[in-house]
Amino acid sequence: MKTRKIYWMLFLFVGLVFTSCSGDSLDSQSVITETSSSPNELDFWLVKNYVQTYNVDFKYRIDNRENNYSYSLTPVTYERGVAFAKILMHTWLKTYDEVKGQEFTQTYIPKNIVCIGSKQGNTVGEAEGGVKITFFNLNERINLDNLTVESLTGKTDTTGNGNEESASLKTAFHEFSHILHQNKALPEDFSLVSDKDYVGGDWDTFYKNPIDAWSKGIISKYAGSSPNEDFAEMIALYVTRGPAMWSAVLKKADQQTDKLLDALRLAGVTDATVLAKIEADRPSIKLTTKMSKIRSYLKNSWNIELDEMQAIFYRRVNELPEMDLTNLD
Amino acid sequence: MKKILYLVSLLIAAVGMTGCVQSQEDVFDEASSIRLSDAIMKYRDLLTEAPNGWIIDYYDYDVTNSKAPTVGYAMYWKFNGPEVTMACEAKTGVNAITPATSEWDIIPAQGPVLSFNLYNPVIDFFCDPTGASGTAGNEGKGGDFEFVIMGETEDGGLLLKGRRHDVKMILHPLAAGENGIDYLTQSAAMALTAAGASNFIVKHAGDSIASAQAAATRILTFNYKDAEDILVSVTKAYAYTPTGIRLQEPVEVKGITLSAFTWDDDEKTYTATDPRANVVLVSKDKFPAKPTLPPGAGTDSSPYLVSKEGHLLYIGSDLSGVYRMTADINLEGAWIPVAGAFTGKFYGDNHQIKNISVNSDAAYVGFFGELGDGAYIKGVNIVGGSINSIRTGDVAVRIGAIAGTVSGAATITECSNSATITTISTQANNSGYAAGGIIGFVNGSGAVTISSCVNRGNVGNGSRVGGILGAKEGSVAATISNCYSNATITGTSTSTNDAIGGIIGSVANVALIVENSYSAGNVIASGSTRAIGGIAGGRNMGTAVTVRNSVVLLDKLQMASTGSTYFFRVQGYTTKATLTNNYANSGMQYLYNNTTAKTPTKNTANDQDGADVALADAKTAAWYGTNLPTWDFTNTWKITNGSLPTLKWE
Repeated sequence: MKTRKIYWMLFLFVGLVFTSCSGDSLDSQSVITETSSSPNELDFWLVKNYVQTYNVDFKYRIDNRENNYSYSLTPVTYERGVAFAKILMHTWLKTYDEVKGQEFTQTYIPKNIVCIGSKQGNTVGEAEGGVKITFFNLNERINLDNLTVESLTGKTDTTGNGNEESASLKTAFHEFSHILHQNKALPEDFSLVSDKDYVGGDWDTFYKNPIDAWSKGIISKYAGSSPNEDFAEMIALYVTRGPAMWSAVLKKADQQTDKLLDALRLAGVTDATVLAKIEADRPSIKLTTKMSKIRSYLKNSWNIELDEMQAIFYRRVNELPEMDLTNLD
Repeated sequence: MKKILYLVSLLIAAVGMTGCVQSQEDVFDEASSIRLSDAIMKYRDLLTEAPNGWIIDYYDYDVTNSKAPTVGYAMYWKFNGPEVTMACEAKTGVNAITPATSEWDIIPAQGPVLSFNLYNPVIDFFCDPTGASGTAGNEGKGGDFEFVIMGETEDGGLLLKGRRHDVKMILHPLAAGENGIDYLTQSAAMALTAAGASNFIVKHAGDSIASAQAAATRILTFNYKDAEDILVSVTKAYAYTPTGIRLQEPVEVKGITLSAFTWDDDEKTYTATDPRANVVLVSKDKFPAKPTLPPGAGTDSSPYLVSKEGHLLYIGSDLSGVYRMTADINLEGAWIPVAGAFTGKFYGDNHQIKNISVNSDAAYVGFFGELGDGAYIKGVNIVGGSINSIRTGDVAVRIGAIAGTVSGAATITECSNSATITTISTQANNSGYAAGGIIGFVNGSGAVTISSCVNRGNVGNGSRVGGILGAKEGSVAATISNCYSNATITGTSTSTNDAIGGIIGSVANVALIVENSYSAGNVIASGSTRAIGGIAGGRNMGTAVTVRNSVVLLDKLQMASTGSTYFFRVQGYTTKATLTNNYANSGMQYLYNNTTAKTPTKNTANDQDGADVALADAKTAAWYGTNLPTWDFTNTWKITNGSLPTLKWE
């Protein structure tokens, strides 16, 4: 953690010279006082890579004035702050850069990124209206000795009975997806596909396990709360966990329907209309229908190819283990 | 009435006048934000400029119960530019004082707030929410990493208040020449030193004014009666310092303010450091003795002079030294057998070691664990108490009052024992096991002599047990002479290879001589143990045992099993024993199957049952003069007619 106080002062000085030309320097009686201590290497790196490039404030020092004080939270370590700044840059911001160009990322990325070392309940991350996104539990998640892709993206238990695991990068893509539909509305017919299965705040009691949601044609428990969450979950899970997860879920989703059809056949039911109705109601069909609507929405409204974005993310996230996440360039 | 009107008009005029006064001066000459900013700059400089850093008595708070401050820890903070290095005295699960570096800042929040805004394992150990998830209200260990700076203290320190938990703490600057890490090391040592002190009489100018109790959670409670004779109880958390303790905040006891104390380890007292307090907390607790270097050089010409428990505890530090007891010693604490082979000399000078209490899972158990080559033990009396092996399983258990095992040439003379000796493990057919009244096991590389020793402690309850010695193995000679055991010796075994005897249990390989000795009391064998004798159990290996000029004066010699082939009054195992001129009490209970009387068939002086002697005769000097002329009643033995013989030195 090398201190470069003199550089920082020079930097400030240059800044002052410029700002003073615009004639809006702070009044000496201003009630806004700046007291931050001397910047370190990471601060300089962030100014260059986050502030100047994306106008994003990456806050790795804890500031409880901005946090939910009903929780006891602790800060991230400096080392994890460094690593997470690089991870997020490489796999999240740069993925959008590659897909749509840097200007797109600059425009839509949340302007405040907050890092917290400890847990806050079971929340992996949370976002406030597309302005601020907070990541929790980074001291545990960013295992600097043995960083795995799964520790960042989370893993889908394809039995559908396990816990629904989340992780920081999935959260990042989830929250960014909300920004997309907040800016350009979703096609109305998207919400109609699973209309009767959205249960609002009761999602956690209604869908006990992922398999409960899958069997209704919904990608995750939380996706069952509303069409917007469904949309964000579909994109985030597809991008961060890939097509293999997607086909495994599709297969598992139809299990109950397959059993039902087998039972009907054994019972000698041959009524074509009954069987056709059941076939048409397959959860996998709902999932694929919604996914194709998402694909065309992304394509038409944003000119984003979902599979291209997935491939870029996949390539980038798998570059992480080879990257130097300790030293700043 | 006019007067009143006049007054009223004056009042109105006065009120009117004040209305003309210019607007009031500001109480503060700067805007609050400017003042806050100035304070932040001032504290920033103050924290950074302390040359040796700071010590904070860091308190977490009781998250489950009263939410009061609890368990104060000495913590060291050194501010260096934007960085801070921290270390903590000790904490549960983390005992090492390991410094860690992170960052700090003072931010405007509720006043100036000192915030350690990057993770530091030293302080965040107390702050991390614990358990499976950091749910709302899960306060972990109740610590804070953000502090409102309340102001400066008289000694140049800062008064802090934990922002989350409101616990007040004082940050003390270290003086020139003081080192933070040393401070923590010394505080940790003080915590150990004074740990046993928990009950105090509070004395003011010599008079008792209150009582006090210190809890392991570093809470001190004072109880006293106030002026109205009402019992008052006040409680303060405290932290250790290099010299004593400091309270989280001052407490008032009977009008006297107390804030810190200095520990005196010789007197076991805390003296208040507050000027004019004149208060001393006198510990009422018993402190376990600590190893203390005895006076003397540990040589033949200048032996260590042993007069207290701490001196005995020192033996382990010099296993080849020469020791001489100068007083009886009452053992206050549990005794841990001297570890390592003792090869020095220990002269008890016929003093007593009283109330020994051993509960050991070591392999070798006794006052000494092991006597090595050259050990010389004389005149030691183990009086009362108990020596227990709590070792379980099929592993070595060798236990005896003076020593568990003897591994070299050694002499044990004029020693006695009256502590009971027990084992949990019994270990059938296992040469790892031996229990004896004086020595458990002899398997030396040199000759071993046990002479003029007495056992009055009951011994049990394993496979190879004897009143003086449990078992003898190896090829080097050993002698037991002029000894007696008057106690109940019990053994149990499921193996026919095991042996129980009134003086010696099992003998394998070569010469063990038992001479001029007697056994009294009871020898009782349960299980299928078969080699049982009033003097020696025996065994069938090597040239085995010589027993001569000895006498069995037991009340009862009993075995549980039916087989009586290896069960005789003097020596159990049939062959390979040299038996000369031995006698046995003709009136004792001599039982197999626990209850069936056995009629002696080999009752001649040179055979296994020994010649008959009436107990009354064996209590007369004349009988010994006629039948056991080797017994020296001039120098070694003494007898009062009507009693059993005893040793002159007793």
